[in-house]
Amino acid sequence: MDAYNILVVGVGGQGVLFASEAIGEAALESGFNVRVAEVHGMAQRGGSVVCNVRLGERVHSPMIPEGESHLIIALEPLEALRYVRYMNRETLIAVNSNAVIPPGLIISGGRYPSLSEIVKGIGEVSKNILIVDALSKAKEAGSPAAQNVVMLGLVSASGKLPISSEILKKTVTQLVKRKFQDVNRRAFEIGFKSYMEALNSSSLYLTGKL
Amino acid sequence: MVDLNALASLESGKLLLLGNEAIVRGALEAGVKVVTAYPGTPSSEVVDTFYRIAEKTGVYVEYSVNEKVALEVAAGAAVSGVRALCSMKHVGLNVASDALITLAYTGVRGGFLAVTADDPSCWSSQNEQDNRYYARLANIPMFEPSNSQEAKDMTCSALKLSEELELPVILRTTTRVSHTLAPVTLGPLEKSAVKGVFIKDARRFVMVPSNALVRHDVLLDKMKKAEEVSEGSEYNRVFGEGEEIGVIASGAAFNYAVEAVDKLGVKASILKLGLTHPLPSGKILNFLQGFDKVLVVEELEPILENDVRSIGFALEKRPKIYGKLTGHFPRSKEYSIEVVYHGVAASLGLAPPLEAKRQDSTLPPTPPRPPILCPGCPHRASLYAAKTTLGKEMAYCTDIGCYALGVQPPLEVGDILICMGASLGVASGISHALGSSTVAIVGDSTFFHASIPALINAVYNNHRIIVIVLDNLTTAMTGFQPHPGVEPTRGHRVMIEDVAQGCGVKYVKVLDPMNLMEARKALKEAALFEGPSVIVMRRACSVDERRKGVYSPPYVISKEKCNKCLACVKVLGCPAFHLSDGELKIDEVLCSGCGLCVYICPVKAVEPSR
Ligand code: SF4
Ligand code: SF4
Repeated sequence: MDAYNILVVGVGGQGVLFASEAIGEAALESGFNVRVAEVHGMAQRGGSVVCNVRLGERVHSPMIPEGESHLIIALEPLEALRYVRYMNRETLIAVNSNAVIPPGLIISGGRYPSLSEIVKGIGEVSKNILIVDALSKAKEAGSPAAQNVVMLGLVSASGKLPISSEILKKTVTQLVKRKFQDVNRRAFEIGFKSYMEALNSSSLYLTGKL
Repeated sequence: MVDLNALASLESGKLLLLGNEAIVRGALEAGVKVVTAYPGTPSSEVVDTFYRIAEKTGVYVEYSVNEKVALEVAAGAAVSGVRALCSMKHVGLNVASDALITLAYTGVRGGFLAVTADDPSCWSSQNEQDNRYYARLANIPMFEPSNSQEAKDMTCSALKLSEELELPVILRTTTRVSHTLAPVTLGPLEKSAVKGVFIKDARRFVMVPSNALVRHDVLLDKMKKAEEVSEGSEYNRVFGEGEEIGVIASGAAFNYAVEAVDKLGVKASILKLGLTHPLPSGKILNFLQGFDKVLVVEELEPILENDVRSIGFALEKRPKIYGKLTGHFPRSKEYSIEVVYHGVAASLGLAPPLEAKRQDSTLPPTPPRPPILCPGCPHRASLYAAKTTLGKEMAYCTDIGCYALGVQPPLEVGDILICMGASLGVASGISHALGSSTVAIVGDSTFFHASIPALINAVYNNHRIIVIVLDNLTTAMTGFQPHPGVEPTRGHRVMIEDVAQGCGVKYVKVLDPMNLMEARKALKEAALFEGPSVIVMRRACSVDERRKGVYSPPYVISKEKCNKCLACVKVLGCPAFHLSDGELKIDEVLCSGCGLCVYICPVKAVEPSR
């Protein structure tokens, strides 16, 4: 199999690294060769963060070529927009609807594009967009910090990821400290269940009904 | 987040490891016993990982005060027959180079490996220097892995080669190797000496001129042997049998080359170089003979390309060599599949390369999201106090650390930044030139790293510098490592104010920057002081506090009192503030409860939540 490419994007502190590592570990357990290119240092201080995850037999470079992501997990809408050049017609794009507004914008008086503008822009590249309010789902699971795991559950339910949901859920739980395991398992399950919901509401966005 | 138990003790199996973690594993497999470092992205996880497994493995691990000291401590162990490793980021080797280049002359007795992590594209660095030059400058062997597996294997081989040749060796990684997770097959863990012996041999180890001249020839002989090793090394070998084009590649660039050739469907052979100094000239010559066209794929400087050209000169029928010198590749920034793809295609005369799969659309503009000081960061208070007390006209010399993020709006404090510890020296020069006080901003770890000689210099020459030491009690930028100013696990704590006093500074103040009144008073006094002054602004990093489980209740904005002047956001830029639907709020999760914004709000609308 040629490389399956996943781009995980978000804001420093949202758990982009964790989500990417979890996919990487699950891929290894599923018997794939895998590369996860992480960002360290500067990017963790509220900056834009992107991780490249590639699985498959013929993976050498850790970096995804432009236009060749099969899946994009965006923990923040503006960050989804930032990486549009990695998308193509077939890319599945999962977007957490919760905006994190860069403080620089408030200072400069700049405007943060609305969710519908962002979705419309992305929607011109690919129609496969899932939108979910991962923050409220994560709170429902017991911790606002679990937004990233909600998103993992969501994309797992789409069936597009070449890794089984059981393995991914297991890895996510194993990677965290014992006291956070329940929250993360719940967040994954809630995310998984929200797939149908996201499918319906996202199509409303795309047809312009919202 | 790797399973440290597995990393430290498994003797077989597979783990998903960062290049940096793989280096740790390779060193353990080679029986390393002493590890030293000064942290710096992208190298930090090497020492951090070692630090976490130090007890379990019995390896001595030290966060040294700077890279030169780190290299010297490791060298001391290695000359005593104990296998040692020191690690640093690329610019760190500049600091350590003085010791390294002469260590090549004395050589070592136990294996000695210097790990240097280059950062093409400056993801978190002040320059893009190519450290492959250091292997050539010091005349010592260098290994360059292209993935985690090789990082592990080469670390192990490099330590053994070092011990065999009694020569220091460099392992050079780049960000994409250091920070990429990839599977690694583990090998057995070797036992080696924990205790060393120092066998005196002054002619070998005392580098006075007469001895050094002799040792230079010894070094040259050792490198002849190293060349034989390089010729026979499995790390230097040919992949594929294609005849259309020959490709020579090393490090991360090799990965791009494989994929680009694959994507283009070109029939190529790739000579992969892993032991890149000394080069296997024979192998390269042999390889060149089979082709009309050879493409050299390497990031940053055209080092290999120049060497390949001069090696190829011996041939009667020479292939055309493509690379940076022919304009097929850029000389700055890291490579990508696209860059390499274009290079291969262009050198074969294939056009047009890589049809763009992406589509264009009417996208709204994407505002930038640069890294910023965290919520509750004590540096925000310090920089705010300095700027509002000393004024915008003052020259602010800043340094390497989180506080460098203070150059961004709204604080915009920082007019020049060069390298670790340079703020004091540069400020001295500026203040001399201007004939007035100049500010030097330096972090705690950076102060110990390289500022003390400049401080002594300022005292002796009476430079009018106001040194603001931002002491957040950790090395925050690189991942919260300790330094001599924090509570030690062995030894004694060194107080910055004591050092300053000991250096002869006559005005030394220690204060909490959250106490703005006190900070302002001290800054005013310092500005009038004839000579260097030191103000230590001490308050723990807010992120580190949270990591340790210390939480303060967040602040809230009173809806009634807030008149939406936005002073708090526009003056401080704390990311805990949110403007949603025209209403200003403080994010309860992000707010660290530092209370700084309470001082700023003109209508006192910021209140404690409980
Ligand atoms: S108290 Fe104010 S300045 Fe401090 S973290 Fe909270 S919002 Fe930011
Ligand atoms: S990590 Fe600590 S020192 Fe660095 S910006 Fe954040 S709060 Fe400030």
